[in-house]
Amino acid sequence: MAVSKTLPIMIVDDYSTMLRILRNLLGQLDFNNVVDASSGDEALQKLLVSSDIGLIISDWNMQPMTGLELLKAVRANAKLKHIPFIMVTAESKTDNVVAAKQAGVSNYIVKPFNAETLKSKMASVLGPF
Amino acid sequence: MSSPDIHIDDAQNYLQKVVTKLRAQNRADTEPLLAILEHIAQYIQVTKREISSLRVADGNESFFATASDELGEVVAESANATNEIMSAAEAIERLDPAQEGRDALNNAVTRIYLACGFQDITGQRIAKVIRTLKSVEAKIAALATACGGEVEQRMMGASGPPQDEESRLLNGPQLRGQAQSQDDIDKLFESAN
Repeated sequence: MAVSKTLPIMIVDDYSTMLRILRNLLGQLDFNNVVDASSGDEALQKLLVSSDIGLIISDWNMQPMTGLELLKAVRANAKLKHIPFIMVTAESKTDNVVAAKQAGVSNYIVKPFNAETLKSKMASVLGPF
Repeated sequence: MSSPDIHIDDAQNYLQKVVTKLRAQNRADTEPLLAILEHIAQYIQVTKREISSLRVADGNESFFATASDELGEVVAESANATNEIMSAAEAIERLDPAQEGRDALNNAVTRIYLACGFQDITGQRIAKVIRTLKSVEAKIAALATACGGEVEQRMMGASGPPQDEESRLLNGPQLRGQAQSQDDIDKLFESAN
């Protein structure tokens, strides 16, 4: 069954420009129910308040809570651990991919990326749309 | 018992007085000591000169504050340009070809071209920072050479405090040609356990 375009998606990045880019790209894919957070801590707080988020798309290099730490916190929480989590990051070393995979990331996009890559990785974790 | 605060200039002046007094005694048995003291005095002089040259010509700002300001401006200008480009692109998306004239489209496109001019300005700022960093690097190398021996080896081989696992994974964007592509990442992701 195709994923609903009303699925709430959370985007997390400490650069407002990247949040705007992600929101625009998701809008082009007809996903307009987007919640944003400019830090891992803010993301976690919003997730705990509203656990109907259907997908998390997060940067890695943020402070004080990195995207990897956010991922680990999500996977450690019984209410949140099921949420698909895509890392979108400039961190492209092998160690990073392995660490993210071991922490339970659903997919991994390296910056800079294009709309087609975002769509295919979202489809791989959510199903076709 | 704690040592009193000693300023390097006071120490240098005192050292110079000791050297002058020993020279005035003109004793052969103090020559080795004089040679060592004069070497120490010269070393202090070189170190002070190298450190003081790490300030820009006007003497009011350090290289580091100036470089930080420039990079801060680069970030701000890049963000402004990006927002302007995105706003213009969004304006184009909203255009109704049946209603809007060519002028509206040209206006949005012009805004994009103008916003892309940020690269010229930020490129110049980054060039200034690169020159600053190279200058600082040369000064540090000269300081390391002036220190000599074990200090030089430790300064030139310093890798900073040991990193924890999280910090070790924070490397940021890689240089072009060294970064893994999305295809590389996909293959790695599939094979990683």
